[in-house]
Amino acid sequence: MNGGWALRVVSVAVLVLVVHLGIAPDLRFAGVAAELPIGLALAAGLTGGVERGAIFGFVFGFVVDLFLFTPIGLSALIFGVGGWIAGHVFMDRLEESPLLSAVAIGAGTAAGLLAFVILGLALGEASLREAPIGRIIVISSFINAIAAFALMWLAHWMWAVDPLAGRGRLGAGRNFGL
Amino acid sequence: MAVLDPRRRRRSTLILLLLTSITLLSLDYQGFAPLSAVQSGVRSLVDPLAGGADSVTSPFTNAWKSFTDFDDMEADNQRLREEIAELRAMSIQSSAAEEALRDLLDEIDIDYVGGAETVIGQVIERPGNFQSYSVEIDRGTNDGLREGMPVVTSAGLVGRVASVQDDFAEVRLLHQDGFLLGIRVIGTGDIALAEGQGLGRDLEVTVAEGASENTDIEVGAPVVTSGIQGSSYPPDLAVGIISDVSFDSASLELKARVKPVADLGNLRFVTVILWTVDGESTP
Repeated sequence: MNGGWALRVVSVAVLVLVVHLGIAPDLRFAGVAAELPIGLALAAGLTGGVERGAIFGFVFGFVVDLFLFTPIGLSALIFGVGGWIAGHVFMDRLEESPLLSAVAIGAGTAAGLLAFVILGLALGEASLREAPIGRIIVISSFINAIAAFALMWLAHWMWAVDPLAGRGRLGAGRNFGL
Repeated sequence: MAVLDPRRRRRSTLILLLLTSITLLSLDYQGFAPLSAVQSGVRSLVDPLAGGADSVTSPFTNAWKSFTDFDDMEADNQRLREEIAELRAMSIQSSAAEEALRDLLDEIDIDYVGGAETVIGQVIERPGNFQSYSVEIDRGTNDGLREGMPVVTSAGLVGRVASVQDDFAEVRLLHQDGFLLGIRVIGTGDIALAEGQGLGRDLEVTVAEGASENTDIEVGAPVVTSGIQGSSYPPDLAVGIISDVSFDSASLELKARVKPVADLGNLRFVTVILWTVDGESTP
């Protein structure tokens, strides 16, 4: 495994985590803060493909879980599946369009947060009922859609390659240095 | 070697991911110690960075807050002016009521913290979009904390230590849905079980045995922890004030509500009483 690649992945993950924990809570819109980590997990899948998206999403979600009161593994599950699904979307080259990427990250954020609440409630986290769930989902998704450009840029830099370069006619079987 | 080929769509990745997540959830529910150690380690690395980022960006974030919350701040300002006027009037009554409560507690020989050792902890803010019934404090097993220890403020009981690690602990607040607490009503001596009903809501108390329509429990009566044998709390910790009483003639149950005296939504510092039901209080 390429050490430089790993360093970039860790740097991006820490950057987004620090922004999520230290800055985003103070930059609320209508009382709702951005949910950037799930946006990054989706962007990682959109730019890196199925396996990278799933593994990055899972590990990053696990780290995010360590800062929440919800059960450890819940965000890991949501982010991992989100990255996996986003990776499938990548195979359809959705990520080539900034607008479609923004829509995908916005919609993915909405679906992920909804799944987080439903699974959390199923696991007995009754406090999730106390939050204005609809407002959180709508506004967070909107913020993440706007932030999609930056998240996609970060994810591209993180993987350090043009993820489409190895596909089919562009050079099947190309080594991605991983 | 391409370990993570973007073109691969193996279902095994998803299955492995699902199984690992379920394992993690299961381990977390069982209080798997190594998981707590990982949590403690990662937090100790990231928290200072997040705190630093917060400090560096605070001029910008404060400007954003004043821009986005301007209308709310104006409304809050007006509301606060009105509240100050009301509070000035109420303060005289409150002082009298507080004095009466203290007198009453003294009269029946109640010792608030019982002389037990205590540790003061600062609440660590974990601001997010989703509410929680818990807060985190910057004290842990290194400071003598154990699971189950009661947590109070100068006003009264706020909850109990739900989980504890080396340098921090999770305190479950008593307004948690389903939080159970044995209480005693001062004056009547009635002992009952109070149950949390959610954020900002009063605790609910049901008295089934010996309840009648002509109850002596009155609105405004102070409530303390019962401390009966086997209780998870020491006796006589101030809990709240009876805010409502009603008798259900169908079920022959007396229902009451208790308003916690501690401000659970605005905790900055709390005091952990180093007391456990089994008497273990030192590391």
